[in-house]
Amino acid sequence: MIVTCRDLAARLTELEEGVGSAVERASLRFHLSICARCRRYVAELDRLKGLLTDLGREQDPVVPMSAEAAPDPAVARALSTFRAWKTGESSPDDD
Amino acid sequence: MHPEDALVVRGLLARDEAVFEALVRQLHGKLVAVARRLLGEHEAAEDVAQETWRRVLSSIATFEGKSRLASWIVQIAKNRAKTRLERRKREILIGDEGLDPTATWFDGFGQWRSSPAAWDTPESSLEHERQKQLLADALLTLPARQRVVVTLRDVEGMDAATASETLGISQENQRVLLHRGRAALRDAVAAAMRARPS
Ligand SMILES: [Zn+2]
Repeated sequence: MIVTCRDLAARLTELEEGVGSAVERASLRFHLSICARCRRYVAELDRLKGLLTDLGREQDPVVPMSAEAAPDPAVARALSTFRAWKTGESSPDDD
Repeated sequence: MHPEDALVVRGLLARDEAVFEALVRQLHGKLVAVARRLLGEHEAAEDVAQETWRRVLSSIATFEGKSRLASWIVQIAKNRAKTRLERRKREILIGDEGLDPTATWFDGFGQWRSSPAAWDTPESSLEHERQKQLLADALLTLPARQRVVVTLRDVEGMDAATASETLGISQENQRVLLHRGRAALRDAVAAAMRARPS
């Protein structure tokens, strides 16, 4: 099976998830072993995945620059929830 | 429990509105942004953030401080966003799979038109932050299906089988969406780095 760079890029997620026949996976790995460009692509993707993982860090998630500070209506809505909770009139959770 | 968190928790348990308001001002924007990755539409994400505050208040007495308070709150928002995604996936997973960005990467022989350039590990942490910021923005510009799959798999670390099941799509379709979404993000980051003289 001849693997082109296009095939490699298209099937990288299969390789990652361990899908496909042993022969197919071996062909993809062989292509990687002889193709420096595809190896660089894999390195790029690894770095991309690392950055995406960082976005999810729970304590301080990275959010878009466009994310605004809480607008006043949103704060007001949360505060009315707070007041209902404070006086014990909190509506039960809607689930 | 972290001492700062302990102060906030004590304030909330004492029904101190100023403490709550400060917490909302600090975190609300983040909760909305985190929910938007899964839900897209701003209003749905805003609803999830508001539900999160209600849940924070009703269960603050059970917060044990095993993680930081902010993590605990963000986690509540993520869980609620996931639940909403599962319930309303037909409204959220709108549109088709989106274009395959890799279509333009290769010539007629299936060879790279231009060589991938291994991204340098940024020298400064400032540059590292900039790249992450850029990705956070680019993620929201992806077609809905790509955005959701990349978020579940690469941002939230969900495995392929669970992600496919959550979204009610085949694993094969999940792979196509993941591949296209990552490729689009790669193009977005590469374009932004080219646009900026280093
Ligand atoms: Zn190659």
